Amino acid sequence: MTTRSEREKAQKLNEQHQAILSKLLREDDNKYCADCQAKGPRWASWNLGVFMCIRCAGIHRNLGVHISRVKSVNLDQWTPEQIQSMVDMGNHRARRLYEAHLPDSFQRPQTDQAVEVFIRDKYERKRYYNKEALAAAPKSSEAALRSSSSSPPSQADSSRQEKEREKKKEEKKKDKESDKVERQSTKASECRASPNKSSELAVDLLSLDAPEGLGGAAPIHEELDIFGPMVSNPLPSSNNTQQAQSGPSAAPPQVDPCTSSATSTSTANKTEQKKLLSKDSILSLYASSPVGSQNQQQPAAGQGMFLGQPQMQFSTQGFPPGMGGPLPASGGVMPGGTLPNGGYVGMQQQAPVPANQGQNPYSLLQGQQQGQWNMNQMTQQMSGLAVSSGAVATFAQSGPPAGGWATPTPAPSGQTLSTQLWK
Amino acid sequence: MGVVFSYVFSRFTSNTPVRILMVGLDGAGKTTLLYKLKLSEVVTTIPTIGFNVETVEYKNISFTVWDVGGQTIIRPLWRHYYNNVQGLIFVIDSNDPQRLKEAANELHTMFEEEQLRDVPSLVFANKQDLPRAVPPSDITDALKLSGASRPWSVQASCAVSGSGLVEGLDWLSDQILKRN
Repeated sequence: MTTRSEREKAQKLNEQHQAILSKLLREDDNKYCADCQAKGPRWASWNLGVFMCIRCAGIHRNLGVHISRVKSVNLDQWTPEQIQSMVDMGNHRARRLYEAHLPDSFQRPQTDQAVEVFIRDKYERKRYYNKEALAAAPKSSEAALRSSSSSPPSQADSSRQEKEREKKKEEKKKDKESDKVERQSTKASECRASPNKSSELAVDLLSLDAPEGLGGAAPIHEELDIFGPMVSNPLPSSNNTQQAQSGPSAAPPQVDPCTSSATSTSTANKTEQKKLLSKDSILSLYASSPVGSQNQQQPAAGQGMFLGQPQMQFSTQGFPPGMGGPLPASGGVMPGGTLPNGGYVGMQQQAPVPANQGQNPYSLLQGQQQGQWNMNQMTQQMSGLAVSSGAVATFAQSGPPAGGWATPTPAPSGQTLSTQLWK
Repeated sequence: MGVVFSYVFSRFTSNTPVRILMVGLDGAGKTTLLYKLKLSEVVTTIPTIGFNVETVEYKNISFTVWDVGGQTIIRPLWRHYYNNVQGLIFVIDSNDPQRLKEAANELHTMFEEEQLRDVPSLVFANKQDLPRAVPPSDITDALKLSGASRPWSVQASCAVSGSGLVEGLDWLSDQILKRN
């Protein structure tokens, strides 16, 4: 059994990771599925370093974990190593790498089978793959770093190399890192590292966002700092702290263009907030970021989505709050994921094969209106499902849960859900 | 009286209903396995958020199989399905040795549950068709099953081809009937 402090630590780390992921998802290229261009991906292959939609995630899982390791942005816990892989790659760089030889006139497939063929071509057979394309891309210093590392430069894809590199670093600096985390969690006032982290992260995003300009050596070092002081740097630790302390003074000016260019005024506010908070604890820092993202109607980290979900379940007709508003189809976190799945479940019970082969309503969401219409259908199907599987269940057993996502849990499942999940 | 009669009646005329819970780490192949059992065909799946439930008739037993999503954050929800479970199916991605330990932890956490005490547990060492699949004997070791007090079995399987599924169900139905 884990102790309470350990759990808190893990939770804190998880929150940090969620913040990083939601920042990554705000980059232009990461707003669309890496394979089918569906809007608002909530899934990722962490070893390939791409964000994707739930349908493509399903196909990626068919490839096997030796090719793609799929994780949900919201429904999985991430390790620092996995986050780093996403930071290092992202949809933008992955496209250069895996779609280097993709013809300009290429029409992205839409049907399930065609998408699967395309994904297998792209990652399994690597038909469009070109490693040089990535080497010529912004992070040239990183490439140099990679070649200097001891791992053999084989045909293995770069993400795997990065993974290996990460692993080595992890091993080296694990103790130091855990120390650091502990310090952060216990002494909130002693917070030199936390503002550092955020600025590094932003710099990171910057280098991904506007790759041409800022591919210098400094951002790279800072980037690698996310999970520990100078993880990549072979220099002794005394040097590390120096470097880390110099971070905040250098980084903030770079932060601004990055975040504000990304979106609206609320982001700018957020950056200001962040600056103000930079002397505060890491807790308050991360508390501020989900708020900011909600203002922007961006996918918010964590809790919000779970609360939204049960409401959806119980409303047979109306849209869940937050869906109807100015939200694009991708805006809601779970709506994008759960409803289709619920519909999927329902349809499979009624007519499993056609549901799988033919219609994938969520992939067809084009405009917002259509999206809402589909949502409506879904909710109706969900209510139908609850009835039908309830019947099945009573037939089968004396008192089993009667179908539907919410039913196994008692009625106020929203609360149980979120509290349990986040404890 | 009527209840007793209908029970006896159903014992001889219709199938014995049995409630099965199928869990495992995300991407182990639970949904594919479920629909292979149900439809004898390979369906295109998406990650399960929530659950799928199907009734599978086999050997005069009607298995109601609950297939619950395995993402990290939704694993705590598994326990809501423990009630009245007569058989447990735990699906492993044999191709993913890195996560065997994680799977073992989840399995043993479940073994400690009171509601699942003595419930026969079938482990599908799935995806045996893939190149780096770990053999079932190694999976048995990795899962530390040898000390378990309940009936358990590790069955090599491949949900895509369907191999091993019937053997697994055979074992499970035998165990459940034995207990009844």
